Order: sequence, then C-alpha cells, then structure tokens
Amino acid sequence: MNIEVKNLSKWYGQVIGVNNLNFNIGPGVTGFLGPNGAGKTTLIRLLTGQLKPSKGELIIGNEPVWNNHRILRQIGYCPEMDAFWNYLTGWEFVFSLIRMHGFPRDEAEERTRKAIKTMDIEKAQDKRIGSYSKGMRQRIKMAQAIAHEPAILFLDEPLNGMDPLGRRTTIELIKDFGNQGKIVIVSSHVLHEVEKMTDKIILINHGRLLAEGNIYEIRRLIDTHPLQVTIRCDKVTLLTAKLMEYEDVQSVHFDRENNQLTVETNRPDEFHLRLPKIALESDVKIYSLWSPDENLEAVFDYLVR
Amino acid sequence: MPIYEESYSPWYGQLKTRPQTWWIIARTGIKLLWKKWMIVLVLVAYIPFFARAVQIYVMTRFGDKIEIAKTVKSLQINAGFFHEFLQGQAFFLLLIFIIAGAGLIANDRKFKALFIYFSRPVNFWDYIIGKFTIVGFYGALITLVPGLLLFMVRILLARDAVFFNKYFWIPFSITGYVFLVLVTMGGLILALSAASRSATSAAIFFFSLITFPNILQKILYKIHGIGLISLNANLKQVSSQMFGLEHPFHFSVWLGFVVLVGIVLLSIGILRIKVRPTEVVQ
Repeated sequence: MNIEVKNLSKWYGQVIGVNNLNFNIGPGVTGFLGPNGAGKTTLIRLLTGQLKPSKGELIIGNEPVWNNHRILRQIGYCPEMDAFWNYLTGWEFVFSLIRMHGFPRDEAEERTRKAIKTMDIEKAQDKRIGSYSKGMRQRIKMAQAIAHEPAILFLDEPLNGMDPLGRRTTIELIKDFGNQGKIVIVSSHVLHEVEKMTDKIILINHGRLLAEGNIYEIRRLIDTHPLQVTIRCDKVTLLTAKLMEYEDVQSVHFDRENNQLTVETNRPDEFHLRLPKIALESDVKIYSLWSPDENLEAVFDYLVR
Repeated sequence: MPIYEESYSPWYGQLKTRPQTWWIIARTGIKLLWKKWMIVLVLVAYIPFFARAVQIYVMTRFGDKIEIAKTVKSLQINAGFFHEFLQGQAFFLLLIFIIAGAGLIANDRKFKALFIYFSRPVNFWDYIIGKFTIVGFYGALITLVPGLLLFMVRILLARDAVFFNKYFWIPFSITGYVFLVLVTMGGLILALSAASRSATSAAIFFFSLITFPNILQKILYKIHGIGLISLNANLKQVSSQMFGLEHPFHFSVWLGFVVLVGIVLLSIGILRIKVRPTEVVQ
C-alpha cells in the first residue's frame, strides 16, 4: 500500500494551507517536517480524510481518501491536540473509538487491552483521563491510534510531554511499526527525535514541498552550504596542509588542543574517497570522523531559514 | 528498497460492512449520562406518572360513584388526559434536554474532539444521529414510555373494550407527539450545543429560547398569531390536532407545523456549519 499525493492543494478562503504538493509515501517511517504553520497539520488532516482537497488527488492504495470509509478504517491517527473527553476513563476512550471501526465487542475489548498494554498505561486505564498527566494523555492518544492495528499511522507530535523513558520506548515502538510494513507518518518539529525514528523525510514550508527523501541525500544536494567534516587525528597541521591543496575544500579550521580539524567541502563524495588515500600517504592516524551538519537539524536549517 | 516483515496482525474476522457508528456514539453517551443525578431526575419525572396511574385506577373502578368525576373534565380519562400528561412532562423534558443535550457537541468542540470521530469511519449523519439518540433516549424515557404505560394501565383496568375501541389511536398520537417534541427540541439543543464551546451557554440560550417567547406570547395574547413565536405554543397547537382536541390558539395548525419544520431545518443548517472536524482560524 502506498500514499500518492498529486497536485494537492488546500485553501481556506484566501489562506493557502498546502500548495500543489506531489509525493509518494511507501511502507516504513516517514517524517513530516516543517516549522510551525508550514502546513503539516493541514496535510495530515487531508490524509486522514478530515478535509476535502481543494484541488488535486490524494490516493491511498488506489482509492481516494475523502469520504472513503474503507480507507478510514485502515488509518490510525494520534492528534497533536489533547482531543479528549476528560470524563471518560482511558479504557472507555480507547474502547468506544475502536468500536467505530466495526469490531465485534470481544475483539474490541481484546484490542483495547493490547493497545493499553503496549503503551504501558494499564495502571491508569480505569482512571478518568482528566486526571492524567501530559505523558499519560500522550500514551492514551497513541493507544487509540494503534488499537485497531491500522496499516497507516499518522502521529502528530507523538512525543510531546513524554518523559525520557516514554520517549525512548515510543521511538522504538514507532520504528517497530515501520519495520512491520506499516506506513507511519510522524509529524514533528523536534528534529533529533525524528532523526532517531527515520532518515526518510518530507520537508514542508509555507504549504509547499521543500524537500523529500533521505536526509543525507538531501544534504548532499544543498550545494549552497558546503558539508562540514570534522576529523580527529594525530597530525592536525599536516593533514590541514594536504587537504588545502584541493579546490573543493573551502576552508579548514583546526583545533590543536583537541587534535581535530573541521573541513568545509563542496564535493563531499570526492572528499570522502580522497581522505583515506591522503591519510595513508602522509601517515596520518585518523581516530574519528563525523559531519556536524549532516543531520536533520542542519538540513532543516539550510532549507527553511 | 527495504524488505519489511509484514508481521502486524490485521483483522481477518468479519468486520461489519458498515459499522453502526451512530449507535456506538449513542450508547457511549447514554451510558456516560446514566449517573446518580440523572437517575434521580428520571425517577422524579415519573412521579406524575404514578399520580396519573392512581387517577386511572380510581376513575376506572370508582368513577361512576364519584359525583365530581362526572363534571370535572380533567379527572376524566380520555384523549385530553394523555395530552395533558405529556404537556406536564414538558418541564422535566426541558431539564433533560439541558442536562443531557447542552454539552453533547459543545464538549466535543471544547475538547477539540470532533476530528477524533471524523478520522474514523464516521460521517456527519452518524455523528448527529448518535448524539440525537442520546437526548432522544432520555426524552422518550420520561414521555413516550410513561405515556404508553398509562394507556396500557387504562386498558388493563378496563372491564370492557369500550375505551379501547374509542381511543385505540392514542398510542400513535403519543408516539407522534413525542417524536415531534424530540425532533424539534432535541434538534434545537444540539444546534445550540454545536454553536458554542460551552455547555452552560448552550443551556442558558436554550432555556431562554423556550421560555421567553412563551412568556411573551402569554403577555401579548391579544395579538393574532403571536403564538407562532413560541415553540411551546406551536407544539401545543399541533399536538391538540394529533389528540383530536380543541385548538388552544388562533392560528392554523399547519402554520404551526411549518414553524416546527422550520426550526428543525434551521437546526440542521447550524449543525451542518458547525459540526466540522477542522476549524479554520484565519
């Protein structure tokens, strides 16, 4: 099953929510990224059939989403907002929502129990949601989204308010869902958390698609910002001199105290191929090598700001 | 292209082809409202029923021996008796609508929960019918059920079939009247609930809409057709026709009926505008 978005636009009067989006999403975890007001939530609401597209097509598994109960049954949605009836218990909340998917009572009970257990909120299941902490509310929201074991899962800021342990287990859970062949779409602006879940991203800004694909591939395509590579080695000065001979190396900053240098290169692929050769020829021992700006934060920064 | 495990367990059993989501919404709502104070209210609303049942018993068994019963119309068990009983329940009905109905949609809007429904196989009508069933259930519990029970009591206590032969149509009138009241008042309270995020505001507005025009038409009774401004007066006028009674107001029954239909259509219109999963802040 795939999600196909073709020329999708949504406007509210004169306000454009999303503008002419085109992309495909397959199984696995995909991150929807963008600053506040970028159109992430509008896009999720279009994908979950809550909004009708103004223009374009939105197809899941060869069927349009809007007003399509067959598709809606396969969707799990964990909203960003605390969409709760505070007077319900956690169990009642999950159970009543899962029944709407057409499960018989016994099956719905079993699935509610399983989802609540998965989200580790069994102890609070009979308490009113009104008395839940933010983290617990987040867990119960997740439970209602996964209880019917949907093939497609939309998670809008799923880690909001969770404690570090909860975050870690939820990240693992999301990755598991992705590995199980589900389409999992995680919308977030906490970049390092998305990075822990996936390297597949869709970057949106001002309702437009800014970038789509693998974070590292996208990073490589941003030629306006040279890639930074930090190297820790034993002969910092020598390696700096050798590297400066090449045209693609824009600058080298070295830090003698820590025995490391940071290189800015326009052609990272060539640079990475060349570096081991230089190290061998110059007898330089490289202890570690990493790219401080080859991460989601940097990609996001370069594209959005 | 990664290879996925496909190990999640989709449901291979028989899903209902079109789940009765309205019923799930209704049942959850009914269950949640069935609390101590609601039980007390329903029990209090049954006091007139017991009084009327005693009246039926006395009038059926000893009516011919009580002189006053032959002259005082309100003591007699006829179509007017059932109509009067239902009219008397209007106060409890108002309370039920305020308590059960005012928060039904307002709370969903307050908690921003509408999209939780609409991202599932639930459409507008599933949602509205589900919510309406909640107020309809409690409304019918204190009007339709006791009304029909009173008729049964009268039939069971009868020594012959004279009453039944004469008034066999009363259960239909009771049902029709209750349906009319529930649809108009229930629709109105849902519309007001949808128009607000506060159950209290919806309740106050509903109470005002029901009582003030009613008071006004009583004050200005000399103005021809003034009753048309009051929901109560229109209901009374139409229901008097249903029970074969004299019309209490000087306007056409059909005009009254048109006003009631108008209220229902207006309520649906408000619901259509307000019950949307996503609210756009511009």
